[in-house]
Amino acid sequence: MSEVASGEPRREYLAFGGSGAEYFRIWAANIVLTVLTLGIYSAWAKVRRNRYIYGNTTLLGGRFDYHARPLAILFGRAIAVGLLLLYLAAQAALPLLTPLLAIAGALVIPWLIVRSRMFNMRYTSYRNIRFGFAPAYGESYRVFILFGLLTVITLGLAAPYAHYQRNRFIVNNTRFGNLRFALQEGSGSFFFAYFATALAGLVIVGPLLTATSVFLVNLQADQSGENVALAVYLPLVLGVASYFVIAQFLSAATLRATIRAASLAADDSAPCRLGCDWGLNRILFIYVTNLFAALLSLGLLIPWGQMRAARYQLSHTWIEIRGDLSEVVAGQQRDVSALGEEIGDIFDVDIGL
Amino acid sequence: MTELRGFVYDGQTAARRAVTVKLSVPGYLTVQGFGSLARYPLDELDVSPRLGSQPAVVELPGGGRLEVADADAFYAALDSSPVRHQWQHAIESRRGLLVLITLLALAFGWLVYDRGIPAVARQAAMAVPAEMDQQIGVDGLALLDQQVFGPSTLSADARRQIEGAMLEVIAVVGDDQAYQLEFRAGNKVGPNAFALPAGIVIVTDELVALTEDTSELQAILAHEIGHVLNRHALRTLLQGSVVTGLLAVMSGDAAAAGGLAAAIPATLARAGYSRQFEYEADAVAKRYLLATDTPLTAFTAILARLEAQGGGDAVPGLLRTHPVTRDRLEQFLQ
Repeated sequence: MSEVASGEPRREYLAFGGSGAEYFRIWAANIVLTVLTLGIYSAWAKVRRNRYIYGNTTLLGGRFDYHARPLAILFGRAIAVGLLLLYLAAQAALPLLTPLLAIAGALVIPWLIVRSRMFNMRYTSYRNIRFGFAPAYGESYRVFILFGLLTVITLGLAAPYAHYQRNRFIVNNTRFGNLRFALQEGSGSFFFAYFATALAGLVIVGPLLTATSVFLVNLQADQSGENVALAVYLPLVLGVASYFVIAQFLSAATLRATIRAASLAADDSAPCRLGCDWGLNRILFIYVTNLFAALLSLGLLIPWGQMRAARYQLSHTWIEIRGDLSEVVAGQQRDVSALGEEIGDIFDVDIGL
Repeated sequence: MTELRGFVYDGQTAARRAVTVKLSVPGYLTVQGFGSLARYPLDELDVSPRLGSQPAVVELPGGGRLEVADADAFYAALDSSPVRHQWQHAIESRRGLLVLITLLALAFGWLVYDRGIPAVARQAAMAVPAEMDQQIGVDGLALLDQQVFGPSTLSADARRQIEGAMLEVIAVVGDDQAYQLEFRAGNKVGPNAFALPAGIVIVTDELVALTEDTSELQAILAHEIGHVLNRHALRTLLQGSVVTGLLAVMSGDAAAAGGLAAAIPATLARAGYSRQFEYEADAVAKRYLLATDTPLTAFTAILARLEAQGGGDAVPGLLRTHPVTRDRLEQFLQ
């Protein structure tokens, strides 16, 4: 391991080779086959999408990959959907119990988030070295429920701090082979990310809604039935769309804060920093133009937009490397499979939250 | 197969080793490089399905991983029947086929929405035991009482008269279901009537005040009985759950099914089903009026007055739970 630690660190950037045209076909086939199979294909679709995106992400000529078996994902989804339907049925049959059901849901969710992350890390690799996630469940309740409550109590003011704690929990329990990730102390950059998002919201939502209302006032002059419908649909569509852009922007801004505070190290070596040089203005520009491209093309340009955003973000993300990467050893691999045997495939629930 | 160049990652370290790959003996894959030569039976190899222009990936026994950049040549040589590793790629790479199955999926999706989900919900509604139906109705009323309604201020006489009118309607269009008529102050829902599971029909004081004679009220009651007869309340619950469940499976994300992206199609689908049910209930009201030789204007007049009260059609067609009154009257008078 000493080789990893020795030598001057050098920055290596990720590269992304996915193309909108190529991904479009995979994306379209995923949607169409999912509809035709009443959702069953969605498990295969997820593997296909992730393999395309991970496989096109390279670092030092090595590719990332996603190895999950569609059947394992399908099984997890069947359980999740079964739980969801049970929840809906209980809510319909016993509407007075809704608050109790909500509490039960809140207790299950941290467990599901941890399982989901475990599953997805276990099946993600770079150069055939697997990632891993192995947290203590107790900590997950502290992070998700305690800080969730704190956010509610402070009327959202503590949201950046809670977000930092969540990401710290996730990063600090993630490994790559025998290397461990760590997130440095300090949630200031998360407060900045939220502030930037609020600002971006005022900059996008304000003009978008103003432009819409000006447009609608013009329509009032010619008030046929069609235009009344338009007057209701248009603000609705734009409102929902701006919500998506703002949510995307927030996750990009907090991801940037996370990457910039993250490092990777073996137990006995100096840490290698991770970093990125995304401009938040540039990110906002990409998301807003992607949104208009998607709206004007009735959704057909969604995969193009996704590839464009991924290319910008990934190719502006770097990691410091000392010495030779081949010194990274999959020392933890045996533990990972032991864990898998202990828990059994049945709990490989994959739920994105 | 000529020799192909590839890389092996052993899974123990991140090192990358250049190798050459060939299918020299039928049924075997030979990997040669870094001073060793290994031959693997093809049955034991885990070949990843072909994907876009990415290299072919083979999981080797023992945890190693082989990448071959020339995927075209590799997959072609690997299999006499390429279906196993390439069927997804075959669909993704053929434009005509992709367009064809897109059209198929659109037709199929419509069929599921228009026929499949309602049929499943109808079957499920019939299978729900009476006690559960009863429970859902009673709980539903309790919830509405808590959140919306106030106590009715109708006199005992007025109530008795409306109950008598209800019995007349039940005698004509009702079934063996037990009905329970409830009077409430509508408050924010104003002049309105509701049908819950277990045969519970609620009329608001405001509605009673808005009707000009008993036949108008009876037309409305017949409409609500139409909802009960067809078990619409239960079917609405079930169809909503099926829609949510399907969207959850399709998006592959249970959380997203409760989120905004799935809420939009779910809301549209629910509103569409609800409008369908209104038409079905209107048909029962019409059946009652025709059977008792009452002019159809008894229903159309109160509907028009309700519309005037509601302030017109502020919500456009696709999002409405009730059809636009003009469409509804047209359908009713047909």
